[in-house]
Amino acid sequence: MVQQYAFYFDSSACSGCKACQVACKDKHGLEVGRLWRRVYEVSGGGWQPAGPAWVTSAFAYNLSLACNHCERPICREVCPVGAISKRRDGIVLIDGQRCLGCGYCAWACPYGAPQYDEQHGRMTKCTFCVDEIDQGRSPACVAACPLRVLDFGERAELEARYGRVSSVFPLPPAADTRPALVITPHRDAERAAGGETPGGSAPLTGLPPGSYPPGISNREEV
Amino acid sequence: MKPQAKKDAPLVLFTLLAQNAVGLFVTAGLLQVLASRLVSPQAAAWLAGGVQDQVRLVSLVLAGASMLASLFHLGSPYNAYRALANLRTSWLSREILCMLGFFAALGVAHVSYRKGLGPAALRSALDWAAGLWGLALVYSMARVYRLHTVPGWNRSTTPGQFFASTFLLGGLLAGGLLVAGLGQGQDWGPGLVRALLAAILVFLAVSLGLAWVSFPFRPAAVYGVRSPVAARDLAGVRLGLALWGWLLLAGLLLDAAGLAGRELIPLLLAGFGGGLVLAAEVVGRFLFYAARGEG
Repeated sequence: MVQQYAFYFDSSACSGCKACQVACKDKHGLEVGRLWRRVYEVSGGGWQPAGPAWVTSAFAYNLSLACNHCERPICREVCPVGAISKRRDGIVLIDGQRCLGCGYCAWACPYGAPQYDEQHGRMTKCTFCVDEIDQGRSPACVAACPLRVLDFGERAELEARYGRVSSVFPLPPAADTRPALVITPHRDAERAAGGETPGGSAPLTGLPPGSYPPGISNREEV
Repeated sequence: MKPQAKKDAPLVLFTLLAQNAVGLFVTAGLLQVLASRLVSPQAAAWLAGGVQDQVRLVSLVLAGASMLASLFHLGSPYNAYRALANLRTSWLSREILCMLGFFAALGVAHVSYRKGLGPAALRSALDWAAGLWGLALVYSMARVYRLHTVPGWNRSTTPGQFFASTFLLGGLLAGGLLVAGLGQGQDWGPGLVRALLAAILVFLAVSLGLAWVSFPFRPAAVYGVRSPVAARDLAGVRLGLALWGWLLLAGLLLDAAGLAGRELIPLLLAGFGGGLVLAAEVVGRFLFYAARGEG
């Protein structure tokens, strides 16, 4: 029996193609503006003079984020109607019939997971494709990834295989909500976290909603 | 109005109307206590007569309007009856409980006083209960926004702002009802009324000071205002409006208290001053919601 389902994401190899994002939208029939999986590009750096030459410190990498089905889901804590529950296998789900559509969970979630369904007036989010999981299949995003940078499984097994990193810049600290997420960081993630933007470079762009420092909203219209 | 501002508008109305209701009731209650302890029993009795009846009624109307406004924020308002389901961990559930407690206690108190139901001690206890529920409401409203995952709101200035708005708006409205009540019942003399209004103004001065220190002057991408300088100017405009309105209203309230009966022009100008403070509070509340994206 799985104790805590988790996603694995290899940021070092993600091309940012958004196949995972599109596969999720396709499976769940999500309209424009509602993204249960969101792909962000984190970029920055610039050019520095080095004598007569210029050297670049530019960097760019991608983050593919869905709901992290946190071990301490703040969305469940704040929901006034108790519409959010956590299964025994760790998957966090929203009961649409109970949901008030107040959006408090969206405010609270540092990963931008809850998304408002305008048509039905309620909050929705990644369900870990429970219908697929319960049939022994993979979530749509994992199955769709052409570079195989997404994986899923028991959290402890993923950590044993890939390490215990569950937060990279600019994601919030993992201690906040203890996300069920394992990440292989991109080689530039540490440099990005150091805020290395020498010589009048462009500011960091494309950050997830709860990220520190304050990010720019990346509402991708697909 | 920009799309995000439209989404925030019901919450701006909900929070300001509720805080106004609580501030009005608690300020009037404090004046009642001050009048009976520091002035005279007759002054307290005068306040307890027509003015407090009006205070309860206006507070009820404001609280009711606040609850109605909050429904427009919900995607599925028909599920609102479930909103007390997570009192264990959700400050939003607790906020709704406090709102219902305030409204119910105030409603029962109002009916009891109007119809002379029950002993005086019980009616007084209902007033105290309503006041405590009201203060708990403002506190729980502030706690709703103290999310550790939202640094822009998770500051000690958040409850400061909410309580400042409560007593700034409520104090001004209490002063207005007090002046309006002067034309009714007995005339206790301009000296007494000036003393009571001075108490309100001291209260307001403290509230404005609290608003000043608790309002964060951070650069903010406020509904398209991306320049830090412009955002600071906007915050400055908000406080300037509040100060100007407060000074205008303060002077006119004191002046009106010295006149026999009502005079139209000071009352109109007092209303204008109050309107400026209200405008400042509305701007400030929109700025607060815009701060969600800040670190």
